[in-house]
Amino acid sequence: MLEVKEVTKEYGDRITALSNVSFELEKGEMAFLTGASGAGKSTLLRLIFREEFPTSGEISLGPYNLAELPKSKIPDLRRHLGYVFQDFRLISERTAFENVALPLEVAGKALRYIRKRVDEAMKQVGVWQRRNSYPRQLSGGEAQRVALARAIANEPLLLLADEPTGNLDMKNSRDLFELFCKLNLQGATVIVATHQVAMASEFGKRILHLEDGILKQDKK
Amino acid sequence: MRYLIKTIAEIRRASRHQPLSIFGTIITILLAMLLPGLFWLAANNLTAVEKKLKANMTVDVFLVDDTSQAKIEKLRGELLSLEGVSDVIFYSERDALFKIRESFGQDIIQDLDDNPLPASFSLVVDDTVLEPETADSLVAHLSALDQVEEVVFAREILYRFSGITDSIKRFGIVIAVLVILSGIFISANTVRVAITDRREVVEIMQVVGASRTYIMTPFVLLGGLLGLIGTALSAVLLRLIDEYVSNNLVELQFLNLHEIIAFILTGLLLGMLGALLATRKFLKI
Ligand SMILES: Nc1ncnc2c1ncn2[C@@H]1O[C@H](COP(=O)(O)OP(=O)(O)O)[C@@H](O)[C@H]1O
Ligand SMILES: [Mg+2]
Repeated sequence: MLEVKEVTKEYGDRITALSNVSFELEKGEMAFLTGASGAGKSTLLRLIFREEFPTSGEISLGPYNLAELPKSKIPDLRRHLGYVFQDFRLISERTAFENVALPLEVAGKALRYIRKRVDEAMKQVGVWQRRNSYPRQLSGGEAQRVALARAIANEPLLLLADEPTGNLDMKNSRDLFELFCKLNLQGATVIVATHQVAMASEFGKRILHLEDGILKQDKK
Repeated sequence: MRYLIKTIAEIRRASRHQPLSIFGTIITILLAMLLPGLFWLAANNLTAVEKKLKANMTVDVFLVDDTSQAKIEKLRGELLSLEGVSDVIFYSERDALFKIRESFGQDIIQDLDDNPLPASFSLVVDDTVLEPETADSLVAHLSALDQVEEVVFAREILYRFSGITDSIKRFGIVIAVLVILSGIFISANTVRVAITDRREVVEIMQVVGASRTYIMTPFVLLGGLLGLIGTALSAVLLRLIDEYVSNNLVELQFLNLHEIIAFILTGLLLGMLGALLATRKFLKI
């Protein structure tokens, strides 16, 4: 499903954020991408998200070969990806429901379908009761689950999360990780980047461990 | 439909967040577009006057004294057959006297026992003859005719007038280009502020796979609307100026419907173009 082949990413000629990273992720598989701050986790996710381009190496995702993907097709790629950020990135003047609806809206889906899918996604992550709240009325845990609902609303090929628990306490972090695992059990393909190596290893999922841009460990 | 709702939301937002910038943009476009508008109005009216002038243009062919009736008839035939001459009117010596009296009053030349005025033909000519070269050759040709004493073709005034009209048109086009360019710039600047204000939302839109068109449309329409409103108000003001001048100075004709539409569309387009440039630059595409 996801194939990362000998990917290197350099910033200028001094910083090598990723060095010859290779791995594959099957459909329905889940991995934690771990490593200390600065190890290159965000960089790898940004490359998969086609926000940046590798210096060398190739990434392909389902039917998309990112090296050959023209700029105009990037929105199309992203409609098949879900992305969760550390800082939630919800639109403050939209309700939780409207935030979750956004990816479906921009994809031009019919209103009835949108309503159905948003309800499903919000129920899946347990924030359906909060659908009419605005982001400022939500707790951190709730806000991140709304962001997660938004990321899965379009039933993505691959769900990416970059330090999704970075702004959450321990309890909420664990709950959120469990939620990712639950979504994975329901069929989602998932990569969660986190520097919380210990907590990540509690869930019995595959661990991709980066150190200074090098994939040091790939443990199933 | 969705675009429309989004656009309206974006415009309400922009006018709430940056009312001075929105208001200022409209006023600036209003005032800027007034300038080419006035030139257009002037050019149109001068062209109308020029047309009237052309239509009333005659060539007066004065005859030598005591030309016989037969020769007059022969000459009339010759004149009528000339290219560009559509009609020929004969004024006898007596007619000439009446004409003078009509314009200057009864008593003038009353005391003279002899009528010193010559008979003449007045030629009604069409546009082709008004070109400088054809006019010169016509005058030369007429002067050489038998029995012709003098040829008067007062066309310099027309040339001078056309010259002024042409300069005003040319100057107006230069002004219009400059104003349109600055209008594009003003719109671009305002829309850049509006989209920068929405930077976070735009980023989120891109993350969830919104196309460029989807993101750009409301902002481009915002720019278009600013141009449209500014120019429409400019047209209204132009109309008021036109009315004022007509009532107090000289009767002016206003732009016709097509011209008004073209004028306002120009505003719409320059607003949209500026917005397009600003959003493209912002989205780095
Ligand atoms: N846009 C950038 N320009 C220059 N250096 C960058 C850029 N993004 C990341 N880096 C560098 O690449 C390395 C990996 O960063 P990052 O992928 O953010 O690590 P992580 O997400 O694991 O904390 C770091 O040394 C960081 O400073
Ligand atoms: Mg990071």
